[in-house]
Amino acid sequence: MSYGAGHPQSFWTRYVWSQDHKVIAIQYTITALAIGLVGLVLSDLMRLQLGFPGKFAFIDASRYYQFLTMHGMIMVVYLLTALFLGGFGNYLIPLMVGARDMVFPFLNMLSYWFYLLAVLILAGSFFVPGGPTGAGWTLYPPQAILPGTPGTEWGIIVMLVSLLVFIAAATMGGLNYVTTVLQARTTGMTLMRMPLTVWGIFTATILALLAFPALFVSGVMMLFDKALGTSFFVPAVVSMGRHLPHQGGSPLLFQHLFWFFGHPEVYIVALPAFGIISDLVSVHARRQIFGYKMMVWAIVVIGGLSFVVWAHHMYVSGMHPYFGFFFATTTLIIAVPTALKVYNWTLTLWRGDIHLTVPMLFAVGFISTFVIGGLTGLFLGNVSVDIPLSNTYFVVAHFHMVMGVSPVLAVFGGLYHWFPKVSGRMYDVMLGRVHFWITFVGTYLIFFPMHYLGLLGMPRRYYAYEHYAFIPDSAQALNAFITIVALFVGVSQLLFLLNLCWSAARGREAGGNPWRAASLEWHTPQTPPVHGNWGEQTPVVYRGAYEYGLQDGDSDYASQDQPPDAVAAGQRAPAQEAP
Amino acid sequence: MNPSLYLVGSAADVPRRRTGLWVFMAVVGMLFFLFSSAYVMRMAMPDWRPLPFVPVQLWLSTALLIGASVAWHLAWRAASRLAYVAACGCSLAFLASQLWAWRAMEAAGLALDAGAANSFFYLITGVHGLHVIGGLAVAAWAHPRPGRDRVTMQLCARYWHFLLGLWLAMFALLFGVTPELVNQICGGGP
Amino acid sequence: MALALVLILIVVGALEFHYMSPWWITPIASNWQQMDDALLLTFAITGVAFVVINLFMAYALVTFKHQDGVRAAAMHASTRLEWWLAGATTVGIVALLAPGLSVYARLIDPPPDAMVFEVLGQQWQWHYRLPGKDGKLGSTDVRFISNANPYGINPADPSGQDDLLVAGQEMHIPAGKPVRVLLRAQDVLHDFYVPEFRTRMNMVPGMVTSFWFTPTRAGRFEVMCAQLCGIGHFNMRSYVVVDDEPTYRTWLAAQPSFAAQVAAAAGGEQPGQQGRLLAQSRGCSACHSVDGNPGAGPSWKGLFGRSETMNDGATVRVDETYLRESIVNPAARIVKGYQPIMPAQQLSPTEVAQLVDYIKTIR
Repeated sequence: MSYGAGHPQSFWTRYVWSQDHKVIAIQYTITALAIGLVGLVLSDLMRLQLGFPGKFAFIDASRYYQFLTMHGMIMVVYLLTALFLGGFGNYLIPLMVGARDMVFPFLNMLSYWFYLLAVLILAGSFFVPGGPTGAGWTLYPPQAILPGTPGTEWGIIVMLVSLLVFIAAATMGGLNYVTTVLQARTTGMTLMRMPLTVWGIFTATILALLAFPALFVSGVMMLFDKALGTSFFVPAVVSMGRHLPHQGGSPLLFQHLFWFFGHPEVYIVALPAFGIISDLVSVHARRQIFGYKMMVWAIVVIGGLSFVVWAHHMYVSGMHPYFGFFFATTTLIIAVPTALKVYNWTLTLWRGDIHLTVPMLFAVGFISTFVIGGLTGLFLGNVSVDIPLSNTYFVVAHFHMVMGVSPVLAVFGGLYHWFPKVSGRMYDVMLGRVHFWITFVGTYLIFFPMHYLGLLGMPRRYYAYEHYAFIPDSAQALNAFITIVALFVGVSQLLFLLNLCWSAARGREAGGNPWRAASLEWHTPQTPPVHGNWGEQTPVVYRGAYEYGLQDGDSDYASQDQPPDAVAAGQRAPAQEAP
Repeated sequence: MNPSLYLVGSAADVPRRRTGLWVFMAVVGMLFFLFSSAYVMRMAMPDWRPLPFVPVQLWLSTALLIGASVAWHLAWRAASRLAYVAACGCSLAFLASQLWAWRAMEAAGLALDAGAANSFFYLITGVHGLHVIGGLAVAAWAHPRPGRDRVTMQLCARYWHFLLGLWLAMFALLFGVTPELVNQICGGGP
Repeated sequence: MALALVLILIVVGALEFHYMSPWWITPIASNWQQMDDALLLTFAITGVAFVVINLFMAYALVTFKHQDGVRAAAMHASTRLEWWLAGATTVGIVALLAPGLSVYARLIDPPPDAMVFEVLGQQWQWHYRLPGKDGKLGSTDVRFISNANPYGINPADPSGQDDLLVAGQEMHIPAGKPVRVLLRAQDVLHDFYVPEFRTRMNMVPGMVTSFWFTPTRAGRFEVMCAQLCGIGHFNMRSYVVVDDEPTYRTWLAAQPSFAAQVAAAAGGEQPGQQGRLLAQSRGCSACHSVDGNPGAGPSWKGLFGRSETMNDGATVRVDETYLRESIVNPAARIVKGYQPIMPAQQLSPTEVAQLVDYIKTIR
């Protein structure tokens, strides 16, 4: 049966109510980038206050906390999670495993519209009485639902409802990604021949499916405490002079549930980034990824371990002290497979044939910034070193480096890398380079010094720092510097958007495989791929996704679907393991 | 047949639909596992008052859900349309019985906000009921017609057995797991 | 090329920054030097990794840059190398974890003879309590908290009667003696954070948490709240003063006891007394000082009868009407130079009148 033939389509079913995974992916990407822009603007507003305190009258303390909360939640959940899973996952998984589409296209389509609904609800919280919640993206009770915090009337309810809708969307999408990888791989595509991008997104999806329920549970219970008077999380308190009717609730219970979700969440963001970077480095250095098997195991082990480290976010929470020993140990253990991945990326560069394309620039940028982000994680994971640093700018600098900078560099790298496949055209290289340099150097300048403000002891989530004897004036000057760089880097992201939009319409034609890459998505009969992806037959796979570095013959690589006799003609098999 | 509507697809999609359902059941199982963990952790706080009695309606609910499971099994094995109707009917009756149990609890003064154990009772049975409703919605859509494959019925049966298992576990949790039991198992640790 | 150069610059720049940075850990004032040692060890080990990996990449980028006719090497795995790297990394991890956990074991094990004091956190101020001569703190419960009893001390508990309730936002402790800090919160999460002491802990409503340290030098140290607790979070400030023994004794002797406070409240009202208790229990004193010190809100010292400039340039005479309006509807008019962050409180007309009376007494 010729897939897609005789399938009448109108504009609406083709581009709006589409069940084609590629259209859904683009919808996810556009929506995520749009809400991500909002998050970026919010961060610049916060920086205005931090760099030039009191100069912008409309950024009062209440608004500052609302910006802070919305910025965090948008970036972590609505941008990064949605983009990696719903954007990259939807586009790449079927293509990379040789499937025609996701296994449940209708559900896939629904997943996008639920995601959009969640985004709209979240945006709506700016317009409800009292504005959005200002409880911090971690939404800790009791303050999230008690007076004294902005948005405690309606904002927090809207936020929680939006999250519940998002979780439904993520579950629908997640079912697709996992089942497609398990059941819809084409002939010859074994699990150990899949590109690491697929492994990263697949593992991240399993994490998402098992971790988001914890957010669901805590969100529903907090909604109940707020709206229905239960006491899951709120003990007996006197708030603003009034004795409230709650009793017996446990704020720590929320924290355990939240971080049981929250820690895997950061790997839901990091693992796809790892996978994408492996592909970028391999393709653009024309080299087999070093230690593919170990890379796969590292992803899986990191994914598994991510479920037993959560309370390293709670070392000073007041939980039983003995937990500190356990979680510090597991947290530092997780550093080992992560470090192995970093070594393997650099070893892939070693003796490679490195083309410093824009995607490769971003990949190297990722490795450098991820190293620093991961290393500062060793400070914070070690319980006694964490105690003075908890809730200071050291933590802010750490999680921005490891979540906000390096995965975003991976996003950019991936978007530039697959842009020719999605659009059939090449982006503007010079603009891409400028975008890279400003972003890479700029984010280093922003977040590297910030660690030292944390060492000094400056707490995070402060609206202002006036008259502190132990904080030198130079710290304020540093904050002003960071703000200026942040504004510049923020505005420069427009270059990226301009590049994508302009190039999609007017860019030079790129052909089907401008990078001479081996994985299946580059070997579709049409570029951009049409509905059904493969024409009459899905491809047959003969080898892994990283056959680069072939020494003989015309080509230095063999694509996954190239029959062995065509490769063997004039070539030896490439060398396997070094002794 | 529209090849895109894979939810009710051809024979080639059977393993996909089976896998999809297993994954979904893993997610729902995780959800209830987390509710149970929250329940056990909240139980440790000094204000905890266990639920004083089992509303008799819950025994009826259990029987109805068992009946639904049996009916689904027959709907699959014997391809019986009557069994399908009976299964849906039992499930609807189960929901009604649950609502009746809620009424009974409220009448006994065990309102949602009058104690943590009460709150969990409504919350957990409510979330379980929502999953039954979701199942019914899919079952209605998968309404058996001549030519429809039997895998759909098997999948519905599987899901219903899962819901039954969940219900039995939650029932035991809400009324059988006490702070004393937890202390015995966990040895009064952290 | 440029990329390799920038990576090298980053390494050099980072090292330079680290050694020349004026922003570094505050001089320690407690016995937890070991925590600083663990921090420095972590810097050393992670610093080596940071330098090596970035320089390795820079070298690879230069050496293996694309040249026409040259292909990448075919070999792509070395199990031996991988295991070696895993082993080295594990050694590094253990080198970090062992000292870290050994300090932690001491951190959670306070000496049995440590002196004790309690901090109660409230949006957005601190309350300090010391056991009196009986050496025991009286039991507390949230349900006892009221205007007259902001600490919620159980009036029926005899060991609470002699507890010393520190007036104001400055707590004193004697140098050289181990002290265990008990922490409570009456409304939301807070965190008692003094960077110079290194150790700290969250304050959780419904629980009593604690940490311990030995202050090693005299000084006046800032206390900051380090767990987001609402819009006044950044302004919830207080001080801990470490005194030598004689100064500490003098200070201690001046602190009122719970019994004395209860008696003073019962036996005859001073003008503005109800208002003063209200101002403390409702958190007004967190932002409005009574000694003229700047705060998040205008100081009440000499406020009544004065002319205030509003943020729209208008001048207003501070009379009873103005005060009432400012309390009941704080967003209506904002004094020039201040932010509109005052929450609206639920106050009865009597309570408002008591507050106004109190403000009138502060000259």
